[in-house]
Amino acid sequence: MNLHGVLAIYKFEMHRFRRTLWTGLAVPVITTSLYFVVFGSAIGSRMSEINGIPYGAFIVPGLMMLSLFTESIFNASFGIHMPRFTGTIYEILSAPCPRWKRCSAMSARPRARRSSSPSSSS
Amino acid sequence: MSDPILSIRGLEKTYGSGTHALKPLDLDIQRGEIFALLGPNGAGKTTMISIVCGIVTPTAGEVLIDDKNWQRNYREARKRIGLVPQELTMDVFEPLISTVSFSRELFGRRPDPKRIEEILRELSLWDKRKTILKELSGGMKRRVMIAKALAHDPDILFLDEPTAGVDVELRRDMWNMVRRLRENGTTIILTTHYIEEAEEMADRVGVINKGELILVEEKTELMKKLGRKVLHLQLAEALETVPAALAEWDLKLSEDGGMLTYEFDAKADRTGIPSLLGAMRDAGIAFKDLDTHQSSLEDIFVGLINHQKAAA
Repeated sequence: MNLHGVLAIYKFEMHRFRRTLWTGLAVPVITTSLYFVVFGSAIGSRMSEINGIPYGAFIVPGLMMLSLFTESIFNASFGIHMPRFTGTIYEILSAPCPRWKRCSAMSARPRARRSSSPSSSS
Repeated sequence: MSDPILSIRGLEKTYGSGTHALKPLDLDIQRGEIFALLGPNGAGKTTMISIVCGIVTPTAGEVLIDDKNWQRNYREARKRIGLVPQELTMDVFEPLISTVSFSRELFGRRPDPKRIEEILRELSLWDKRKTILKELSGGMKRRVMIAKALAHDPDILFLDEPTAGVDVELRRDMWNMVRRLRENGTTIILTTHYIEEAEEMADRVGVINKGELILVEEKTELMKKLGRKVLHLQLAEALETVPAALAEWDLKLSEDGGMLTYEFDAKADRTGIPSLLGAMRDAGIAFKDLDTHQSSLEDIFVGLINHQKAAA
C-alpha cells in the first residue's frame, strides 16, 4: 500500500486548489450569482410556482449544484490534463502506485471541494 | 564479479507510428557501477530508460531488478529507481521544497524534512527552498530535477542527459555529486552524447545506435585503445619495402611507399620514437613531415556509427 503516495497527490492537489482559490471558488460563485440576479430581475417576477415550489427556491439549489459539478469535473480533469500537457506526468506515471489510486487521489480534491463550497458560498 | 542489479532481457519497442525504437536489447548493469550509454539523437536511449521506469510499455522483453520482474513487482521495483528526465518539466508554480517532498512521498517514503534538507544542501538549493520554481535559472532547475529524483533515496539512478545545457562549472559539480552518490552505493546509468563525460565518469560504456547496442565495454579497456597513438612519417623519397634496419619497430608502409606508420603506446615509458628517428637518420631515410594521432573515444564512437551506416 502506497498511502504516502496517494496522500502526496491529494496534498498537492489541495495546495493547488488553495493557490487558485480565486478562479476555483470566487469566479463560479460570482457567475452563478450574476446569472441569478440578471435572469431573476428580468423574468423572475413572471415565473409562477413550479409544482408548489417558488421560483427562487427552485432555481438557487439548481444553479449551485450546476456550478459545483462543473467545477469539480473541470478540476479533476485539469489535474490530470495539465501534468500531461507540461510533461510532469512522468513522475506520477513512474510512481509505485496503481493507476486507480492515482486517479482517485486526483479526483478526491473536487469531492472535498464539493463539501466545502456550499458553506462558503451561502 | 557478476552481480547485476538490473538486467534487461530482449527488450523491444515499436511505437504505434511504426518507429522501431528498440531492437531486442540485452544489457546487465552491475551493482554500484556508473554505466554510460552513448548514442546519437533518436538512438533509443530515452525509450530504454522510460521502459525501465514504467513510463513506456515494451512490445516484448522484460527487465529484472535483483532478479525480479519489474512489472510483477512494480511497487518494490519503482521505489528503488530514480529518474532525472531529459526535459526540465516541473510544476512551475510550486515552491521548490514542496515539489521535492512531493516526489519523496509519491514514491511511498514517509515525509522526512531532515533528509530533504540534506539533499537540498548537497545540491546547494537550500537557500532557494521557498522560491517558486519558475523563478529559478536553468542550471538550478536541472538540480531541482536531480533533487526530485534523489528524494526517495533510490538505489538505481537514471540520468538522462544530465548535463545538457549546463555550464562547465556546474557540470564539474554534477560529476562530483554523481561520484559521491556512487560512493554511497547508488548504481548510476547516465546517457549522454558528450564523450568527455563518459570518459570522465563511467566504469563501463555502452554505445547504442538505431535501437541496437553495438558495444559494451569497460572504460579502462577502451582507454587502453585510447592510449594507442599513431605516428605518420611522410617520406621525402618513396620506399619499396621497409628497410631491415627498421624491422624492430614493426612499421607499416603505405601502398605508394610514401608514408611510414608506427603504432605505439603513448603511456609507455619508452615509446621508441627517438630511437626510431635515430635509426632512420643512420639508414639515410629522410622525411618531410610527421604527425601523431591519438584515437579517442570519439573516434571509436564515430567509427562505429559510420560503420553501421555503411552496412545499412
